[in-house]
Amino acid sequence: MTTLKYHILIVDDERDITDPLATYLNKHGYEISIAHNGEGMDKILLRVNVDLIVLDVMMPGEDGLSICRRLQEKNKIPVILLTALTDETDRIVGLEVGADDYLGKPFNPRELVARIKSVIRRSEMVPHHKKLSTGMVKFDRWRINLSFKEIIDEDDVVTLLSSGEHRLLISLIEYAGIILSRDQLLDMTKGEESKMFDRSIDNHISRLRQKIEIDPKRPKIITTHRGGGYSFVGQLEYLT
Amino acid sequence: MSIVAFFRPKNLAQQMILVMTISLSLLLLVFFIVDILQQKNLPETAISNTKLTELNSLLPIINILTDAQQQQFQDKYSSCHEGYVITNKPFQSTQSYSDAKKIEKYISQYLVITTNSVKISLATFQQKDFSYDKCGTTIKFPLNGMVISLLLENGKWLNAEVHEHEWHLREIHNWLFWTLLAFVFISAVSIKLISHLTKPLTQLNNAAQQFAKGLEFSKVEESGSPDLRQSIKSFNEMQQAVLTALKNRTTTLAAISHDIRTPLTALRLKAELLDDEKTRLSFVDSINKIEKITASGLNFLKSDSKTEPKKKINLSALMESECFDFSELKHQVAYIGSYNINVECRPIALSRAIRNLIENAIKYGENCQVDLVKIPQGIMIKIIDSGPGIPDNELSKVLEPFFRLSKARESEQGGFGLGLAIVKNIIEGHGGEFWLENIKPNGLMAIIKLPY
Repeated sequence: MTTLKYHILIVDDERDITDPLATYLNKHGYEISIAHNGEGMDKILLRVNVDLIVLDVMMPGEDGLSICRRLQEKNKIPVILLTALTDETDRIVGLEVGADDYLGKPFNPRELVARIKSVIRRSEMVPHHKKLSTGMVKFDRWRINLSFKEIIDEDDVVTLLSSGEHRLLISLIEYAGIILSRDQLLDMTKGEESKMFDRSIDNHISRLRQKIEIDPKRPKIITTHRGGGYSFVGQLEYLT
Repeated sequence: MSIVAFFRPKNLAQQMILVMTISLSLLLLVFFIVDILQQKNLPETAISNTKLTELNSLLPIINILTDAQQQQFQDKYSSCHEGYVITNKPFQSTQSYSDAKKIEKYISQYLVITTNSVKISLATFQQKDFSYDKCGTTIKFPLNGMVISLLLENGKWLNAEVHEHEWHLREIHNWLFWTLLAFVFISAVSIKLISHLTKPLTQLNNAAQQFAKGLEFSKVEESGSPDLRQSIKSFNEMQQAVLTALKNRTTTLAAISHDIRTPLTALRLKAELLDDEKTRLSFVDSINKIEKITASGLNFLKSDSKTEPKKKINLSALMESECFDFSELKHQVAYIGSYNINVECRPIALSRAIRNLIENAIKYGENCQVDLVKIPQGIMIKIIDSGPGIPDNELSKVLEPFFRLSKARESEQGGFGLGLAIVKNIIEGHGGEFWLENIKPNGLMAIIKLPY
């Protein structure tokens, strides 16, 4: 079976990064194009059908965030943002402008590949799902601003979520009502910490239940399905 | 000793008040002494201007009075301190007085009468004499005195008593009362004025303390005397200068830590392309070390910042979650604290602090217990390991940035001497306290106290 090669566009002003990254991704079986600024990117997008863009935030001229925002408005090509700032606020800003994932420099190239796979699979799996990287959602006694790793109860007390728990909860909410298998969830929740790679989804589900369910033994928000799968069954309310 | 310490002035206002009180007291003392020194002795009182002027004006009037009127004068005019008696013969004394002639001459010259018309004699007065019965009990008898007898035109004698003007108890009372009243009034006005004058100084002091604690600019209003104004202006400028210097340092460090990340990423990518697995791993290892250094540098800079908004969080859940993360990586970390403790804090910074402490506990002590309890003033977090602890004299030093324990202890663990400094910055930024204690027989306990 001849596999179709995914085409990835790397946008970064540093040749020192684009060139070895192109070689590395090429070795992992991706078709690569390189642009060093927003204009270059636009030219390439006109002639090539790109599956994913790896975009640097800090660039002279038009910066990555504004490019990302522009891309979301026009064509919904998945974006992974790269930045040297690993601050929580940068992550939030990145997700708010519509990036699908986010990686701080210096990153582990293997992790980048894992993220690329995950993002591409997600975009293919349910192409028309409601993309929820931002916005406010209410369920049970909780409120959550999807770009923040925290849930807030009715008394305004905040409970923090780990990156893994956050990704898991967001994925479950995005596909609310749909049963997701462990493999699918694992794909979606591959987090920035490498320890996430081989961690079992069941463990994460049970920790998440500890935090959000009134009685984790009799879950009412995230239910388990026979044959191995989970779904979000809580009453969702979208707040503006 | 403690009383002395209590009265020792603690600020300029108190000093000024003390100086003022001392000055006022000295002034009063001087008045008092002068007053005592001005006391006249008996003959001086007798020939004092006051006495003689009075006699001079009385004499012609009494001379034209009838006998009956003279009697009335004697009864009505006499008072405790001025007794007059009109008799047929001059006052007779048993005591001899050598200076009598001299005084008689002086008085006769003053009153322009013949020397024979004046008789001076010493006397020992009892209360029944003259009009002393009007004095009540304020004067003690017998009283030494003198009598001036003047011959009237009708052949009778006008006897005027003279006694030493003693300090009467009542007068002292009076005197004390009025001086104290004046004293209190002046003090009240002065204290008000002084505290008004020194208010800018107090503000300056408060601002300086605030600045030392938080290194945040707070402009002090320029008021008060010109020199004080100048000092405040200089202080404001100094604050700015210190903050600018700090900011420059921070920016430089951040820029270095930050800019190093791009070449580091490139290096990491290039290493990944190496064919020799052994070389690749050694490259990756070195790169990871550099990355850790830049990350801890950035974390240290960030730990100072107060940009993260404060939120009320379920701290128990946060800490349990941190412990869980570590135990999933097969570390022995147990949460033994209470549940559902909510605290207002900067959650990302606080979890970094707790993570740093757990990491240290695992690194040096292998296992770790994390405790969280409520205390009257807030909450207390304890992170306890069973490792070798730290020499007592270095317990506080290890909290300083870039402080490293001996190489042997540090071994291959790869600390950069910032972990505990980061914790300290974060906790102090929350208005809390952080310190380390050794536990017997072995182990180290990191304690955090946070206010509600």
